[in-house]
Amino acid sequence: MIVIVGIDGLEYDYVKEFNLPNLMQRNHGTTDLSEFEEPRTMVIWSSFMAGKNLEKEILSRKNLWEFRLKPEETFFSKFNKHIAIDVPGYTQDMEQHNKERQAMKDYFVDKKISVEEYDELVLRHHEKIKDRFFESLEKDYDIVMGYFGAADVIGHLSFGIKSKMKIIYKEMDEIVRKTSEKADKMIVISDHGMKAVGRFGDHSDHGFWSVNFDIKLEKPKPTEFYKILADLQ
Amino acid sequence: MDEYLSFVMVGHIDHGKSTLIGRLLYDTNSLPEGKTEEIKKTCEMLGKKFEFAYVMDHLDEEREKGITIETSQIFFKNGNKNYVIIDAPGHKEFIKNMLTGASQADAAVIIVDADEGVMEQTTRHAYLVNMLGIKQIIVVLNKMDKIDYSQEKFENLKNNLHELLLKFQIKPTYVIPISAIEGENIIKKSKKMDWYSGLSVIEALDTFKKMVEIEKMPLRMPIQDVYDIGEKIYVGKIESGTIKKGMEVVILPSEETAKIKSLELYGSDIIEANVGRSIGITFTEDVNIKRGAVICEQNGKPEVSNRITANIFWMGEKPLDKEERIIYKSTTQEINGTVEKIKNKINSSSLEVLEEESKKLEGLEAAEIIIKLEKPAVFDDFNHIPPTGRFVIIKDGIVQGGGIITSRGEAA
Amino acid sequence: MDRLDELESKSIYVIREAYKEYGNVAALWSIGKDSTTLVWLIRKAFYGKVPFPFIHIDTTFKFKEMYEFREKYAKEWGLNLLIAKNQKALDESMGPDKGKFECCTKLKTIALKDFINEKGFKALFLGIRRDEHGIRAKERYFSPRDDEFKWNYKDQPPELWDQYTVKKDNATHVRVHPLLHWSELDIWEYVKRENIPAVDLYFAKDGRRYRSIGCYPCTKPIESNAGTLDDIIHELKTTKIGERSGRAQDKEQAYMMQKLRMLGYM
Repeated sequence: MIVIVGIDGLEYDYVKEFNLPNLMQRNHGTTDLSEFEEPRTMVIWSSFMAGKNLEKEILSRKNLWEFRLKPEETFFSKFNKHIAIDVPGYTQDMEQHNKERQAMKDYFVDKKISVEEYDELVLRHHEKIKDRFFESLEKDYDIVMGYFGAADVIGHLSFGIKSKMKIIYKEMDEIVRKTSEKADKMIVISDHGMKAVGRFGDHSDHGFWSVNFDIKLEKPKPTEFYKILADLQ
Repeated sequence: MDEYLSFVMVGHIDHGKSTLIGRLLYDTNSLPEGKTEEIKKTCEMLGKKFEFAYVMDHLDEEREKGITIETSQIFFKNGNKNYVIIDAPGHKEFIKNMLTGASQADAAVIIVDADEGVMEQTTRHAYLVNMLGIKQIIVVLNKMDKIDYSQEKFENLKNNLHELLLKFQIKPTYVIPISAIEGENIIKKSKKMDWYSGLSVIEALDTFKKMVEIEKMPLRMPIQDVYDIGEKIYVGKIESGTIKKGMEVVILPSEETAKIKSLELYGSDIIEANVGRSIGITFTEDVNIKRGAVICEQNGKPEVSNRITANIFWMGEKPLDKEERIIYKSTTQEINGTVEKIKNKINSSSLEVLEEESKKLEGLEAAEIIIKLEKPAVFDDFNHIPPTGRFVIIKDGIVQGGGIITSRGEAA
Repeated sequence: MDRLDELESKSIYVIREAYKEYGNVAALWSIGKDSTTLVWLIRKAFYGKVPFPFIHIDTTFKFKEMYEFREKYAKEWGLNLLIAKNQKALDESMGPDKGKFECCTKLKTIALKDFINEKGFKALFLGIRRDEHGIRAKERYFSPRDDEFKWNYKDQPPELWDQYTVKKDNATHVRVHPLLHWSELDIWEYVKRENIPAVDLYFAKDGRRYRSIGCYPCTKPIESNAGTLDDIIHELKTTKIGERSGRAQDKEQAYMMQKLRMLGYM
């Protein structure tokens, strides 16, 4: 089984600083996002799956969050049995994503909710996704991709509080550790990293990647993984 | 009004000072709210145990950013008692800051790594804390978890420490085996060290008191200044004892006697004032008093002499030489003098005697010295009345040494 | 003696020491709670007959309540009040719209620097407290400043016991901090006990109050319902939010909102 753990906003520098061995796997590094005008979540995940830069196409839409690829447009079509859980640009849970963005507004613009309430909304969804993800690993898929948004969504309000982010990062490290027991080949990838603005977090200009197999990669673009996955098949 | 006790926390770097501070705050529920609450919630939501290590991560982070804990004064509360921790830096280069902090403290906690044992800074800190007149001292032997909570190792270490410190009559009030990271013997007695029957750190702190002894001591009020506002008001701070309206006092070094007509505190009518109070006084008769005179009571007068013997600690970049002219400053008395003798010079970290008779004293060395003064000074034996038994040495316009007076200087 | 008496006595001692040592001194009065407490303590130290002046650095951007307060109490307390202004910068219409940092430098720092040079004060009393801000934890009671007004906090002589001697060679003036050991809560408890007047802005109106006051374009209120001294004391005992924390975070928040919009989140 091939498993992809997609972690939104996972920052290379924090993974190194917190020294998280499972996230780092056998080979790891940063991704090159220079082809994108801005490191936008929807754009990068969609481009990653499609194997080509979809920035223009997605930005031309009225609501970029509603963009959805068809299976045949993605590397999943190269596999027999496949599942993608909550991945933006493909199988995202629209309701949850809308709620999270509303919460962000409620916090920043209307100052209606606290950080704790915001975090709770995010982490409750995280637990649900985690369950679905581990259930999928028990079945006979050829490829499974799980998408975890907590590091990014929580990071926007708290990336500057390192001690708190460390707990979230350790949680992700633990998920990858458990996954490695089931996966033959595994890729951990983020769309972009983050950088602190006071207590808050902005997107950084590089993503994170790691794999549990031998491969020579310098600073790959997210779109390069399409071919790597196709070759693994 | 709640009681406040301030203590200085000193220790060799890496012996666990910040962990102990974090632990005291955490276990007494005194951590600043806000971000630690967020961290706790995050743990709960992820079904993880909220561990003390996360709190330490956070405090370390805040300190790196210079936010909370760096504020060298940390407040916490246990029951009715309020504590102020004066966090003193452990590095040798910060010894001046450590002394500045410690000179304001009622008590001291000296932290020692039980695994590494007594280090350079440990003995130096113990010596200095003692020199500053802090009698309420707790030595905690930290990281007991690393030596399997062994009673034998604890007793050995404790004996070594006692032996070392006793040479200088330093007697810690308590020696407590702890593990700050695990929270053993901090608030409650440790179950892992049931062989230890003494107090926990917080219980030990709870037994400490503020400046009580000095209140019962005879009066010492050094004059700071004289204000002529219609009537002459002599102002100063009471360093020991109590002053009362109508009291017969003796003024030293002139030996003049006088009677207190009134106590002057702007906006209040008072007839009695205690140690620590900044006050003004008037006399029923004319007196000739200037800054530096000390108001005392007839019973239990201080010493008056132009030669003193003292233990001093030197922190100047340049050494203090024998025969060198210095300024002696104690309370408000400032007198020119010369260093007559430097005896029993010791290295403040090893407490080793370097020389019996020396020509100079280098930075971070301590010694017994005799100072000859151009005019008589009014002073007490430090062990009797600390505030009038301590002084600083001014050289090149800045404070470079501190000392405590052990006796009236014998004729050289 | 209780805690407030102790704090008071220590401050009065420092004030008297500095006056004795330097003679030609002045005290800064910003009209805020800390410096008004300082004024109160100075009056106590000298039995109401203060032998030196008070300086108010007037940026002309202070709240009108502050000017009213200043006039009223300067008169009632018989203070020798001097007003320091950087008239040249004001004539060139300096203001926060020219940049906050630039404005502070011109209207506060330079205004004070020129004023001290002109009057030749040897020491200045300031009402700063150690618990206000990280860097202030390193302050001493007596702190020499050089020609550039700089403070070398890395190598300061020790202050042992109550001995505050400082070397004056390179110092144009010495800053004296009699309130160094007070906390924000101590100030309010003392204000209450002593009945010290405070500018109305500190007390909540419509769910907001000012926790520290300065120039109106750059000072923001906090959310609070504390309308009396007792309420403020209660509020401080229960919250742990830093006194000055609001300001920096506001800026970061504004920046984040802009970024999040660009990234398509909002």
